[in-house]
Amino acid sequence: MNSEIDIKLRRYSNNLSISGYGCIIFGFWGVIREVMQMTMGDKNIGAMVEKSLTAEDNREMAITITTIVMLVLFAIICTIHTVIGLKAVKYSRGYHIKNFFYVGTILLTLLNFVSLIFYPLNIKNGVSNLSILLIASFWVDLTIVFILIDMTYSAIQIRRLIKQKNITTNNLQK
Amino acid sequence: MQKDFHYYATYCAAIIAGFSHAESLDICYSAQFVDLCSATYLSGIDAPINAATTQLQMEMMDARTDIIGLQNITRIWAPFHFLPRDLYAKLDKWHPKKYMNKYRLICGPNGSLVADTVELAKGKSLQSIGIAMHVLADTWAHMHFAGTPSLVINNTNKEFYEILPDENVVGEINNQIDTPHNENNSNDIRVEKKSEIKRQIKLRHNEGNSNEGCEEDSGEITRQIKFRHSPSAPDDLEAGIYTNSLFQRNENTIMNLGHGRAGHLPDYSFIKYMYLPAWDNYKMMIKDNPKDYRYAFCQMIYAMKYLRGADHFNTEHFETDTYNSNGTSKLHENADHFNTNTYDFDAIKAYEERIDKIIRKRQLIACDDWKAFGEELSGQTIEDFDVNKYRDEYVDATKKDKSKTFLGAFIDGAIAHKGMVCNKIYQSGNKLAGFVKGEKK
Repeated sequence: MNSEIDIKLRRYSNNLSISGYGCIIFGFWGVIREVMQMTMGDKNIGAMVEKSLTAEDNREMAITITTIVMLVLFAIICTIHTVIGLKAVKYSRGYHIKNFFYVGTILLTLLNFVSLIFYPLNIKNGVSNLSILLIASFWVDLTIVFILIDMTYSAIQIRRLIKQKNITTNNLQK
Repeated sequence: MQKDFHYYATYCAAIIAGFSHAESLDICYSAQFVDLCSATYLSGIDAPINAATTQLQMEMMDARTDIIGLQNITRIWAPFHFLPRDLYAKLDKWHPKKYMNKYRLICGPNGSLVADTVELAKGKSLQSIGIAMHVLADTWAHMHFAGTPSLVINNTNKEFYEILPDENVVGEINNQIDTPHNENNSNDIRVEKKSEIKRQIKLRHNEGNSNEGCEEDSGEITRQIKFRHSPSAPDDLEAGIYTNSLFQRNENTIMNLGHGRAGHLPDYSFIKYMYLPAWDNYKMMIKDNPKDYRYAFCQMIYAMKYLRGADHFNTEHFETDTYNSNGTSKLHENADHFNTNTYDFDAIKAYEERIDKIIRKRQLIACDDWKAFGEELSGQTIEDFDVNKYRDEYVDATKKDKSKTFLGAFIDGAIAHKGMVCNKIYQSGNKLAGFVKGEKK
């Protein structure tokens, strides 16, 4: 009951559960942030579409199509975060999960980590022109990456510990 | 603990310790009154409200949880219901002072404060003895929880299991598995689905030489406890459904005070359970209430014999865990002091089976059983507890005579005890209980 393996299992299950919920929440948050930026920020959809339009193009149609595509993308991102987060929570409660979960988690972690690289590129004309929004956004994304790394690590540790426990139990029964 | 132990069991212990019927009634009344002496009651009789030994639910709902409010809450609950075991406890790893202050308020039996509590009652009124007995008994029931609102100390989660003796449960549950589900089944144990039964049953076996929650080869089983937040509904002992306080993420919310997150389980003498306390690094904790209540009862007898005076105090029959390096008992050296880890098991030898039966009987409250036992011991009738029994005496007394009344003596004892404990907490560098004037030496 209080063997080292049991204690570690509880610890990592707790971490995995919290990380799973974090993944879901930050998935929704990321989408909300982008929607707010695109509808109310200076980099809204209209401004983005304007840059690539020619004089003959139908502006409204372009904006509509772009909006629909973006919304579909956001829905996919949200769904991926939610599914992976729920799988993590399920695994933390002792249910069995497929290997797809590990692949999905690692991929999501890598994607979010790569997105951090784009932040330095947004710094123009020196650090003094950094906006507060950019800094806050960076820290939030860093938190998401940390949560995903923790989730991946906890899931791998739980799998390892369960195997170890099963081996130990089998040895005792012999 | 509940009225069954604080009132009736304390009466029984007092009689066994040699007090008369009238003295025992005063002691047990005071012990039970600790659970009812709220600021509301005291202001109703124009008594000093700093003598409050408990808080009503309505008072707690209105309580502030800023630093002043937390100190007010801790000043009541820590001294009277969750006496800290070790105000100078240390942990292997570094923790912030804010955390350590709360960790050091964790209640437990046989701490130095218990000895101080009993010593404070020495030579004082029967009311002071009653207060000391309440505090002593609660250190056994409420151990591992702190008398201050704290999520990181007092929280629990779904890892909460009742440990049941298999002869009561396994046979019936196995019958349920093998027979078709019957909607009109009138068995005590309600079972919904076959898979649900199997999920609830986790057969425990000893692993190696450990005795983790289960008696050797007894096949004790564990059943997950379901908590709900329904204060008006009684706990369902058969189905394992109990009421607890709501989970709230705020560290200092009143929901995280004491054993609220574990419901009334610490106050049921029959129950043995295991759970995951928030402060113990993911280690499961086993709470064996039948064993703890027996220890509490025997320690109360020892304490009351000590408080009665040296003439009636024969140290030869007490069992103690306190030994010198050469094997001699420290008890005999310290006969003039109350010793922790000391119990008068000898005194209950004649009643062992009876007491064990009362403690282990699966019921919400054991007042009737303890009352019957107490009346057999003394040959007298134990009157029912009446919170207003001494109210008129106090209200009608003049100001200078108030201390001579029953409630006046209780109030003096409560203020003295509160002052002693809170000042000890303050001296340890912990400001959670603030600073209380009025400690009488």
